Amino acid sequence: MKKQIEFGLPRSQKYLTSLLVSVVQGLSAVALLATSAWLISRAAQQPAIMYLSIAIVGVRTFALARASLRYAERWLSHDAVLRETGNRRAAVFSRMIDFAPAGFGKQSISDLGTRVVADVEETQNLGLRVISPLIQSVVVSLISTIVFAFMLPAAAGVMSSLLLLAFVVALPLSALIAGRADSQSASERAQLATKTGRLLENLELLNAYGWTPHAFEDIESAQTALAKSSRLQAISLGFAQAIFSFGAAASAVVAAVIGASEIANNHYDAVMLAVFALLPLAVFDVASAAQPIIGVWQRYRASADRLIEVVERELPDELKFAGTNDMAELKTLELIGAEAGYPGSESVLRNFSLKIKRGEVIALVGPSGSGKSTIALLMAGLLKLRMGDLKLNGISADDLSVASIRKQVGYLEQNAAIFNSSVRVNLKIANPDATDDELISVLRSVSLWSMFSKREGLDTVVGERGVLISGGEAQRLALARALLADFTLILLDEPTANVDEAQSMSLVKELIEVAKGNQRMLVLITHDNKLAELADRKIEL
Amino acid sequence: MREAKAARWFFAGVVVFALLGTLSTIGFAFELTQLVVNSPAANGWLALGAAAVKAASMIGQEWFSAIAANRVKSQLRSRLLDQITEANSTWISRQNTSELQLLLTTGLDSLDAYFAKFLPQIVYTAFAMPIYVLVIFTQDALSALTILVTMPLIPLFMVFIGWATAKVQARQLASLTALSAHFADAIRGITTLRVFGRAEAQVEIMRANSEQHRKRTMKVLSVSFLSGFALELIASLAVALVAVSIGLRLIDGTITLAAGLLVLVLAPDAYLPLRMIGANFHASADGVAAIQRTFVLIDSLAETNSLRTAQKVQPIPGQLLVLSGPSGSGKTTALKALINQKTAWMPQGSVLLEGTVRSNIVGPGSYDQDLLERATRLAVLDDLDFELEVGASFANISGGQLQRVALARAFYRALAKECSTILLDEPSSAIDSGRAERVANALAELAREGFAVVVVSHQSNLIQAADKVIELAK
Repeated sequence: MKKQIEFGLPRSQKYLTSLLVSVVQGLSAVALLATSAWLISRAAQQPAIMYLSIAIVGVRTFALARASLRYAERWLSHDAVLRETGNRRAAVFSRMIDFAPAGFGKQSISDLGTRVVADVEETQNLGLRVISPLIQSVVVSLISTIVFAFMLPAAAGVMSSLLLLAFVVALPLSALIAGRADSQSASERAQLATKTGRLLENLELLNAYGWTPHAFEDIESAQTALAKSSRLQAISLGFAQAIFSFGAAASAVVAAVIGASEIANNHYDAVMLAVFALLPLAVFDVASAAQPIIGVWQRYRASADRLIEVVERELPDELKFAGTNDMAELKTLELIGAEAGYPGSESVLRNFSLKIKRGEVIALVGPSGSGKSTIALLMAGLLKLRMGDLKLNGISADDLSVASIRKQVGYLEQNAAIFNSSVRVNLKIANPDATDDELISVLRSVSLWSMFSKREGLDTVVGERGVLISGGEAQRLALARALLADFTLILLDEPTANVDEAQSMSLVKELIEVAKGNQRMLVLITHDNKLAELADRKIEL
Repeated sequence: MREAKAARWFFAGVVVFALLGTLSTIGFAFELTQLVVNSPAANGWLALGAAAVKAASMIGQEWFSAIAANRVKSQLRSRLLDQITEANSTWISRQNTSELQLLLTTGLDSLDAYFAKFLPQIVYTAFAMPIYVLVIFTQDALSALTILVTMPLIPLFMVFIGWATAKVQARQLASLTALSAHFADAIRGITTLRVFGRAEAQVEIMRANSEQHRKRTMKVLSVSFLSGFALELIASLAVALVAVSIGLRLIDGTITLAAGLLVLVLAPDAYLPLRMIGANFHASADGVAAIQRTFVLIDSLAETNSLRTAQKVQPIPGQLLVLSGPSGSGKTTALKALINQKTAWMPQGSVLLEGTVRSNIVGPGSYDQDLLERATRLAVLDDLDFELEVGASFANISGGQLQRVALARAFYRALAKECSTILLDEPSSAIDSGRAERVANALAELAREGFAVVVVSHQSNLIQAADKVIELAK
């Protein structure tokens, strides 16, 4: 639990201030009712009005304070939490970078993304809806009980026991009623979100095959499970409210009875009776802000656990790059007796060797699962060998800084990510300093400029995952991006899978020409033998 | 909204519990006051009894509200999903799936605040407030009047401030959605960013975006919190006003202590319903936005469903037709225009559904083993175990295998549902040449059997095998 609290707790000065403000606000609320009670009781004794003037001013002040401090507290706490959440987003993403792509195992990166985004949003609730109300309730209750104890110790004793009962028994008991409904509902909600997401992604297909009703049924059952959880949660919340309400009433009655007897024994002036009776009501009113926190805590905890797992996961050896020397301009690359595999899985590559030097174009051909993509990851500095050696310019890759390797070796994935932004933004990932002319020129080289120029040019938005352009166009855009980066060695994973044949052959021929012209290296990973024939050498796996 | 009708008995239940709560609150306040003024009729046990009834009614209220909210939500979700099923591909491609997904999950969840809290609150207020005011009136007419006069200020302020923040809140929701979508986008493309050495820079961009979002959100919150402030202020000041006025009249002796105390205890309760509405209004605004967005979507669906893209291509039974042309020339669009109940379609960029290889081919429910075997033979799917679990991560099967599964899926449908037309979009682009040749033969075989086979492809072997080739220009 400590780790989960530490993970999401806002640590800024602003947040601490908001906590302080909320305590003072709670005390103002209690003071408002107590002072009003005193005012009325005193007035009943019909004194001269000037005896009441302080109380009158007090009542108005506390009323004002109660409202304005609430505003201040909300403003401060929200500001603090928003800032922390922004930092958390960046921290989680930063941690995930080291694991991409080989370290995510069988998880779908898309699912992971959706979950992480939702979980980070959820972490805001710790500061806003758990810690803040808890601190307010507990501290205000404590201070009020102490003050009350100076006046009517016996009644204060009863009130504090009932408060304790409410906090220590009612809250956990209500959590028990909810059962694991709170944390379960979080995962049920996530399931519903994932299922709905998949339905929407695959909608065209499901519709065309008439499978949508079945997918709906699936969602229906997820919905029903969630409905049951939320019912239990509601009952448990009602239960907590009920205990606080009854506790308040009982404390008030006891205080009234004990107070009356104390007054009868002349220990106190009759004026105080109303104050004694009403004070517990006010204190419980403030304390009841803590009622819903158990539910919120459970939901937060589920999200926090997932994020902590992402952030604290140990980087596997295959992804630890420790070299420090910068690589000079790449002239040769050699794999010797390489054995490699995805972390936690068996090796897919065994005793593999390859050599490539400047101006060469080679093709890697082989059936699926033969490790072609693994070879690409090895060469691109995204995965380390388990056995064997990787030498660049004759120097072992372990001694070279992986950042300098990645500057010169580029890997174009099979379904490269197109970002939901403009063409310009997508291309500038390769070179943020590129001028528009350079961008247009590289688009021309993949025969994409005419298409975009008919739309909004470089400002054309290419939509979520590139849906506003065809599959072939998306692939060529990714290729343009890789060209713009001016890599010395480019690894192309199935570069022409969605491009029409006439164009794909000419595209690859052109790439090869450019590669040779600039003395670059090109590695084609393809299943297409015809394409592989264009290379200088073919390596079969 | 007709979905609300489904839950009307539960809403009624909520109101009943709420009324019970009101009456018991009044009962308790009365007894407590009697205790304080040392009346001989005072009975502590009666007070505790009333408190117990109030406590029980709280549980009942929460429970029934939850049931009501769940019913409405699931009905609304079902209705939306039903409409989405009828949607055509034009509408689908225009949508932002993460926005839709957010709407169907978080968006509809915010209806919880609307139906489980806000709506019952409104109804409760309509019943409970008059009762409180009436009781107060019997004790002290002036206080009742004060409360009546200050009460309308609350909804007035709520409406005013709500109206002022509505636009900014909508923009706020858009900003949050954009931020989340951007975050998710970055995670999806994390490998690409890493390859180009831009991942670290993205962290900074993310930080900057979050900072901007924070500034924008705080601006919105500064105004929307004002509504909460106004509510609290009005309620607190009103109580203060009542207390002072009672105090002054107690001095004059024009009111009894018992009456004055009862009014003091009940006054906050009289404002409570409206204050709760105010508190939940903020949250319910999300719910309202979600409902509005849902209806906008349903309307846009109805619109595009009536649009039909013109059919450029006429499939002929027994003919293997290949559509070729440069990318972007509209081949996929032309193909999709032909999809209907009697066609079996294989999309470009094949899709894998959660389940086994077999369930990906035959779908849910029972299947015909013979037809399955034929379909997989035609698709040359000879290297996969049918029981293999595949899922959202394609890490366990290759691109070529995936394509052949999709082929088998289309073939199975064509055979099992006796379709007249088979539509294939780039069916062998990722398949090795040996198998691709056999696929071409399979297509010719199916055409000979009487199917109209329409294929989008740029591969020469398919173009050669075709009976007819249509070249689409840009």
